Amino acid sequence: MKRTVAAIFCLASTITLAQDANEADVDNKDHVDLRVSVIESIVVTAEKLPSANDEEADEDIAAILDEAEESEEEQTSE
Amino acid sequence: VPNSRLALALSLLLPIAATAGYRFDTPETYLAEAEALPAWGATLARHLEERFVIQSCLAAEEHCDGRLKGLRIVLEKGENLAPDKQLRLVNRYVNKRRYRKDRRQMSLSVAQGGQAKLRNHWTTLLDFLYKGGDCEDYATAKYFLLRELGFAAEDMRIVVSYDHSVREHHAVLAVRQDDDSSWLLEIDNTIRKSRQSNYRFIYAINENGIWDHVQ
Repeated sequence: MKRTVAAIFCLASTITLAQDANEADVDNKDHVDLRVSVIESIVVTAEKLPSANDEEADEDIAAILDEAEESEEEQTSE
Repeated sequence: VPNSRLALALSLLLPIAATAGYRFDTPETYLAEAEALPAWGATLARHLEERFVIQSCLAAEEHCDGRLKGLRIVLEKGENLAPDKQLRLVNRYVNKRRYRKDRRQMSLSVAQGGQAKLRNHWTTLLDFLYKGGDCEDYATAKYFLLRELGFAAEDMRIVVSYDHSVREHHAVLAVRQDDDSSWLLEIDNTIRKSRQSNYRFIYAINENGIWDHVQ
């Protein structure tokens, strides 16, 4: 009798724990879906135009950028 | 009265939140894998396909056309620079590209209720080099270029924030430093190292995931 009661108790506990875990998974998925939906609805609208600030580029960086620009211009003019 | 006290407390706290620098060491803000944001997941997949074109150009100059010639020079010569110079090079190279508002490009998707919604459009590196883009496209192009130069995905995130100075959402690339603080690569060639900023960080993405900063 005691064994039967213990077995039923264990079975009931396992079912309860499994249900809790499933509910937690569902809650988490719902939360993620909701947040992703909110994130998706944020439209990046700031119209910040690229502009060179006063700081000059280092010589080696400027040389690479000039070379890259020239190669693109050559390609365009060909 | 309690409501007015709460509003006062929030108004005092918000500027503090807005001036803190972006941090990478916040695992509790991780939300989901990158593909959970379909538009971003699709851009990552398209970029993966386009990498064959970039790799082919890097392997042989005759395979490069148009903008790819410039890209090849930046990647080849940039490879030998120190990491901080690589950041400056990529920042300046990308910021020279054509600015184009993407309002017309934004995907109009129909949600389950039949309601049409505007969503951000994320461009690939090649799309951006040929067609230009706006602030999130500049940040994305910097991300993909630095990945080509060997920067790790886990050290970079495209961060969408609310910019208090223009009262709109803006995107920048954040690059992690050794102390888990970050440098922000701005669209005006500045690399913001200070912890002070006008930004309230909303969310961040890279190829590994999405981080939600307003949970």
